[in-house]
Amino acid sequence: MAFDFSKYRRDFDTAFFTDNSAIRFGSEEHKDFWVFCEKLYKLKSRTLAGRSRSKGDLNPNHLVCVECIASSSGRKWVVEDAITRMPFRDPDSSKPPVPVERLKEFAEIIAKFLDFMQKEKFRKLRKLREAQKNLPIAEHESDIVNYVKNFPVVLIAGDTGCGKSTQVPQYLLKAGFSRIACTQPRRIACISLCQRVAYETLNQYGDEVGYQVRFERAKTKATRIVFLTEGLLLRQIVGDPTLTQYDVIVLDEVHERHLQGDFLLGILKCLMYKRKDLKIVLMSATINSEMFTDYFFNLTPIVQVPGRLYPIEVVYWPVVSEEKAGRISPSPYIRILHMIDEKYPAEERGDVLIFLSGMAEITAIADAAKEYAQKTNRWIILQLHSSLSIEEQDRAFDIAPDGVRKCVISTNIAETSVTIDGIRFVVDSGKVKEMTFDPTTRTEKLKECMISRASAEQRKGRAGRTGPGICYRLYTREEFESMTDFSAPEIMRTSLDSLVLQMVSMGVKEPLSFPFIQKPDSSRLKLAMESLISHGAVEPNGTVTTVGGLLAMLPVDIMVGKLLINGCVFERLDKVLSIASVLTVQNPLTNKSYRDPDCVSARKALMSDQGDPFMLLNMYSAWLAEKNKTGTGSSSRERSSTTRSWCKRRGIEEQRMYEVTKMRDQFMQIVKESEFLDQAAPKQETAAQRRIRIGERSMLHQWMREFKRKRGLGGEGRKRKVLKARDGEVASDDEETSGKSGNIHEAKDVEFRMRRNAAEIKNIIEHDKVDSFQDMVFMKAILTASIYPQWAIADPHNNYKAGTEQMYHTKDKPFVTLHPMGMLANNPEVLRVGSCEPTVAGFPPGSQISNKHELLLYLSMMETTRPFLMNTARIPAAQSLFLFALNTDVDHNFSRYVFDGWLEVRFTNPLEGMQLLIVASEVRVRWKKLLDLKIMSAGRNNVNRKEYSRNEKIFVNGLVQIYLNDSTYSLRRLLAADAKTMYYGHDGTSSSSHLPEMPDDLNEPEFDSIKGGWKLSDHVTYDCLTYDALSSALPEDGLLCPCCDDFNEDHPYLMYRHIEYCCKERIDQTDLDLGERTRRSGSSDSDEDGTSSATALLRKRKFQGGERKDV
Amino acid sequence: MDDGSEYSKRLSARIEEDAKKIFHCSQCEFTEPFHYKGRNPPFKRTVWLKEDSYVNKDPFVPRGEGLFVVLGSDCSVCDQQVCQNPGCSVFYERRICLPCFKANKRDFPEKLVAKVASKE
Repeated sequence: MAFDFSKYRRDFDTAFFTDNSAIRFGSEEHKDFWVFCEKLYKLKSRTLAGRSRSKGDLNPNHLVCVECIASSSGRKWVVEDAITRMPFRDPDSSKPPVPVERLKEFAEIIAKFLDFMQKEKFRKLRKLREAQKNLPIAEHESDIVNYVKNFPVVLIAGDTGCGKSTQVPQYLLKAGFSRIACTQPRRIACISLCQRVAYETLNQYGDEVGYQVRFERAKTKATRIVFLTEGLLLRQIVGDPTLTQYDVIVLDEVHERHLQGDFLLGILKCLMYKRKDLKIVLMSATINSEMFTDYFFNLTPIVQVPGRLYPIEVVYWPVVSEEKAGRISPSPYIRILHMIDEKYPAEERGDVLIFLSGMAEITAIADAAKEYAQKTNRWIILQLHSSLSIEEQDRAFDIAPDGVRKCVISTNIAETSVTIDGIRFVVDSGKVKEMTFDPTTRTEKLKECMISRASAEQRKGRAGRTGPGICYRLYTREEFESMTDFSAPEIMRTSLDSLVLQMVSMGVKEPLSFPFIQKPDSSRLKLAMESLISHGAVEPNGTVTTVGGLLAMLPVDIMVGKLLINGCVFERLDKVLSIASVLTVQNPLTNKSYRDPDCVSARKALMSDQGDPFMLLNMYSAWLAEKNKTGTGSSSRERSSTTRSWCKRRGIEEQRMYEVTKMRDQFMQIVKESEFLDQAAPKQETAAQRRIRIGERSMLHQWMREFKRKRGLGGEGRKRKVLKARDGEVASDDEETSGKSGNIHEAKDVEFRMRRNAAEIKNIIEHDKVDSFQDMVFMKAILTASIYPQWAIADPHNNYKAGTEQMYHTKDKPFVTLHPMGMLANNPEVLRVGSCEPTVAGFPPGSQISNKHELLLYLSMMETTRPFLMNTARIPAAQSLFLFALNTDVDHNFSRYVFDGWLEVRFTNPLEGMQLLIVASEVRVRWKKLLDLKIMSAGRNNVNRKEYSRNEKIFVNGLVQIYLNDSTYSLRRLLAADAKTMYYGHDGTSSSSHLPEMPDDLNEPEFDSIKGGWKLSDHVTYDCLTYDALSSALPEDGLLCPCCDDFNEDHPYLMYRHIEYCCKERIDQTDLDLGERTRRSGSSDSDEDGTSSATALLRKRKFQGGERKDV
Repeated sequence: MDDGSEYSKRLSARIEEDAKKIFHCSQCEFTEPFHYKGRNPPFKRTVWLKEDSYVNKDPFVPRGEGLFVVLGSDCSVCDQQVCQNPGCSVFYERRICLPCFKANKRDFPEKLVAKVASKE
C-alpha cells in the first residue's frame, strides 16, 4: 500500500514547513504542494494495484537537492532536522508515529515538487518568449530599432494582432532607449498595456514599466517606459513645452484620429525643430498610412507589418426593409444563428459576434436571441457595451461550454477597443451611433449612420483571429462600395472648446493657422472661441483670462473646471467637489428607480426640489453616512452588504457612488496640484489615533493583496471562466454567485476605506450639507456662474403639463424637453411659477407677473430621439440674469432689461430693477476681485486676508440681498424678430442724444455705436432699447431714492447714478452689521422666506419705493 | 542600521549587478538576462541546487517571496550554456546538452536514453 502522507499533514507541516524552509508554511506553494502530494498518492496506489506498469524509477534525478536544505544556521540534513520537530505521538495509539523512512520519502516528494515547479515556471517563461518571437512584428525588430536610431520620425503601420503596441516599446527599451512615452487614446489601454508589457519584460513586480492616466499613476524614478493618454501628454507639454522628460514619443493608434491625437501630431511636428534629438514613432493601422508620412514631409521611413489573419469569407446578406418606425427587427439575426446551427456541427467551436449601433438595439436583439437560445439550448447570449459594469463586460470574454456557442452582441466597442478570442462568425449591421456636436446650438447628437469602409473591414477582421471565419454583412455590396473610406475624425464632429482653449493658452495665436493634419471648419473654430468668451475663459481680443489659464491646466471640461475654481474662490470646495463629481459620473439612478413606487418613497428623504445636482448631492452624502454608520467594527462583508441593500432599496446603483468617491478624490488632487487652494494644515492626530489608523490601513492592505492574488489580478489579468448555460441566459451576478461577486463588492468597500477614515467621511458629510439659506445661495451662485450660458426658459404654456412634456427654450434651440430620468421631469409641480398677479397694463398680454420666475440651468443638451436637457436645476430668473449675463441692455427708464439678446425682464417698479442692477454690478466686481486675489496668491499661500475678507463681506452681503430680492416682474423670451427692432442702433433716434451731465466730474460713459446706447460698465448698456408700445412710463412726479429718502430726480440716469452712490455707501456702512446678522440667521434657519435682517431691510426700501409709485 | 538591512542592501546591489548578465541557450536561442549563477540563490538561502545554475527571481510572483526560476546551466561536457527545456538538455545528476548526450549515449542508463528518444 502507498503511504498517505496527507493523513499526517499536520505532523509534516510542523516538521518540514517553517517560515524559511524551501516551501513556506501557508504560502500558495504550500497549498499547491499538498495538492501535488495527493495526486502523487493516487497515482501510486493505482500503479501499485495494477503492478503491471511499474517501471524502475529514474530517480533521484531532481535538480533541487532537498536532502540538504539549509537551515538559517547553516547546512543541515533536512530529515534529521525534521525528526527533531516531529510532534510526539504515543506508539500505542491508533495513529502511530511516522517511521523515519517516511520522512525521507517525504523529503523526496518535496524535491520532486520543487523540481516540477521549476519545470512549470520555466515552461511558462519560455512559452512567453516564443509567443513574442512568433508575432508578425518580431522579424522587423532590427529595422525598427535602426530606423528610430537614424530618423526623427518613423511610422509603423501594422494591423491589429501584429503586436506593435506591446512589442515596439520593448524593442526600444532593449535597444537602450530609456525615457519612452507611449500614448494611447484610451486610459484603459494604458493600464492593460502597461500590465502586459511589464509582464513580458518580467517587470510585473518592478517599476520599470509604468502608466500614467488622468488621476492615476504608477510611475517612479525607475520607470523607463510610461504608457499615458494623449490628453495627459498634452498637459505635460503645457508645463514642459519641449518635453525634456522624454527621449522617445510613441504615438499609438494615430489612425483613430482622436481630437487630442490630432493636436499632439501638430505639436510634435512643431517640436521636431526645437528638439532635434527627440524620436517620434507613429503607429497606425495599415489603412491610410500615407496620410501620416505626407504630413511629415515624406521623410518618414515606414515599417509595414501585415497582421495575422486567417482567410475570412464575406457574405452579403442585405436586410429586406422590415424595420418599422426606427425599430430594429431581430429576424435576420436569428436567421443567421439558426443557419449556423444547421450548417455547422455543434462540436466545431466558434463563437458569434454581432455588431449593432446602440444599447436599445442590443437589448432588442438580445431578447429575441435569448428566446431562440432557450429553444435550442445551444447558445449563450451576452451583451457588451460601455454602460455595463466591469464584471458584466468581463463575461463576454469567458468561454462557452462544449457544444454551446456564445453570441456576443456588441456596440463598436468590440471593433478596436476590446478583442474577444474565438470568434468565427461576425454579423455586421453596418450601422453605428455617432456622437456629433452641433456648436451653433451646443447640442450633442447621437445619430445612427452607416459605418465607413475602414470600420467594416475592421469588423470583418474580428472573425479571423483564431481561425478562418465568415463575415455576414447585412447590407449589399453596393452599399459597402458607397461607404465613406474612413469615419470622420473627431476633430470634425466634437466640441472644440477645450482644444481651442488649450491652443490659446499654449500661445497658438491663430488656431486657424495651426498645422492640423486635417483642418476643422473655420466656423467651428470660431464658435468655439465665442463659447470660450462667454465662459469668461478668453477675452474678446483673443487673450486668455486668468480663469482661462487655470482652466487650460485642469484636466476636466470647462464647466467642471469653472465649478472647481469658483468653489475655491468662495471657500466652498468640499461641496463643490462633491457636486462636480456627482455631475461627472453617470446618473446613479437605475431604470426602475422612478417606476418602482417603493424606490421613489424610499428615496423621498433624499429629494431636493431644486434639481438634479442637489438631489445627487443629497444622495451621495446619505450614502456616505450609511457607510459610516456601519463602523469599522463589523466585518467588511457585512459593511459592504448593508450599503448595497440600502442602495438597492432606493434604486441607486452603488457602483456609481464608488465612482463619485473616486472622482472626488481625483478632483481634489487636481485642485491640490494646481496650487490654487490654500492648503489647510493637516489636523493633529494623537499618537494613539495614528496607531489605530495605521493598523487599520495595513489590515485593509493585506486583505486587498490577498484578494488580488485570488483573482489573479495584476498579472495576466482575469482568468477566463467557463460560462454556464441556463436556459440560454447567463446566471445573473446577484444571487447566484453571491460568494464571488460579494467579494468584489467587499473589495470596493475595502478600497473605499483605505482611502479615508471615518473622520474624513464625517467631514465630507458635514460639508456637503446644503441646508442653510446662505449655503443654497452660494451653491446656486457657483453652479449658475459655472454653467452659464447653458440656461433655459420655460414655455409659457407649461403649467399643469406632465413632466416630460414641459417645453423649454434655450438661446439657440427652442422646444426642448427635460430628460425623463431627471428629477424635475418627475416632479413637475415644483416647476410651476407661483403667486402670479394678474396682467397689469403696460405688460405684454398673457405675461405673468411674479417675484418667483425661474430659469433652468442644464449641464448638457443631448439629442437622441429629440433634444433633452440633462442635469437641470432651478435658478431664480432676474437674480441670475443680473448676476451672470454677459450683456445687459437697459431701456431709458430702467424698467425693461434684455439679457444676452434673448431674455427680457420688465419690472413693475423701475427703481427695483435699478437697485438690482446696481447691487449685482457691485457683486460682479467683487467676485472678480476675489478671484484675482485668490489667483494672485495661488501657490504662495499668503492670501491678503484683510483685503480678501473685506471684499468677501461686501460680496456675500450683496449676493444674499440679490437672492432675497422679491421684486415683481415679467419674464419673456425674445424671438429673432424682436431682436431686429429692439435696439436704436447707431443711426437710430435715441431718446436722448446725450446723457444729462453729472454734477461731479464723472466721465460720460462711452457710446455704443452698434446698439445705440451708453456703456455703463463692460456688461451694461444703457438706453439702447427702443420704446415699444408696452414700455412703462415713469411716475409723473419723478423718482425718489429708496435709500436716503430725500433725493428726488426725474431723469432716470441721474437717479441711477445717485442710487449707485447712495446704495454703495449703504452697503459699505451696514456691511459689518448686516453681514453678521445674515450669517447668523443663515445658519440657524433654513426658511427661504425667513425674515432675516437683510430681507427686512430690502422690504423697507421696496416699500418706500412702492409707496412713491402708487401716489 | 542593523546587519540585516546592510546585508539586504549588499544583496540587492549584487542582484542588480548580476542582472546585466545574459543567459543564452546554445540549443534553442532562448535568451534572458539572469540574476544569479550558482547553487544557493541569495533570494532563497534554504534551497540548494545540485549544480551551478543560471537563476532568475520568479517574475510571476511578488518580490520578497524568495521564489526563483532556474533557466539552465553549463553543459557538463561542452561547457556551453543550455536551458532546462527537455528539448535542449537532460539532467542526470549533472546537466548535459542534447548533442553531447547523444554522443555519449552509452554512458547513460538505457531507460533514460529511451525516454529521451521517445520525446523527440
